Amino acid sequence: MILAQHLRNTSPWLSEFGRLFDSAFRHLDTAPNDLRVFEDDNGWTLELDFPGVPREDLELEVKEGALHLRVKDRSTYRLPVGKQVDASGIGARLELGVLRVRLPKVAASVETKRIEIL
Amino acid sequence: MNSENTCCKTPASETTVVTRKDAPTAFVQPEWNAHKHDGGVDLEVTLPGVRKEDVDIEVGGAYLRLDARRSKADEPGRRVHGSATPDGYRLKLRLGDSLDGSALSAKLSDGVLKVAVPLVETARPRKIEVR
Repeated sequence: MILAQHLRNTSPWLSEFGRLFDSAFRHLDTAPNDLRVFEDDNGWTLELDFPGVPREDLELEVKEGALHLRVKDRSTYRLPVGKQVDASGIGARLELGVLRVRLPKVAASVETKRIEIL
Repeated sequence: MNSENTCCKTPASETTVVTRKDAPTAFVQPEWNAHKHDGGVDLEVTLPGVRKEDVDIEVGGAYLRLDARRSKADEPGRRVHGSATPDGYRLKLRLGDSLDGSALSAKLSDGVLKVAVPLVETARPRKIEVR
């Protein structure tokens, strides 16, 4: 799904994700219909069903502030991840035909980090 | 083999599938397809998020009933986007007389259930030796 310009700020999906991920949505190309997002104190988990899809047919990459998910011979999803997500800590797991991508929150302490003066 | 008599002629809409009647809405009919071959019918049912111990298959009265519960206990937090994961999947299929439901075998892996339903002995193609 490629959203028309005028839809970009009105789609519930966008506003939801915008609120969640503190992100600009200029780069959102696709929003898979069956995507589920869960939130807990330490981050978010994206969940997508891929029954029967072998691990090697899925490719995940974080670059340019977005998470790219490529499904061989099918589609590519591109989800922006905002500043609240610790990109270096993103992990993924495929189990029982369900893909879960873990997006940890940036530790709050980073915001108020004390710099030691040497 | 009489094709009218067997379960699961593709596409799904043309088959003798009977959809869930009294199932709660949180149970949905899974996607499935069937492949017919000389030895019987192979069914493929997609059951993402379902563990093998949570699948019940019952054969009786010419019907195959599948009941699969999707584990929600390990949902990672509060859902903030997307629709609710179904509680499970239910499917009811009529098996043709030529299929031997009592001899079916099933295997679940990576969210896909494969069920093989063989033909009854008398319905299997066999070679007749000419003496």
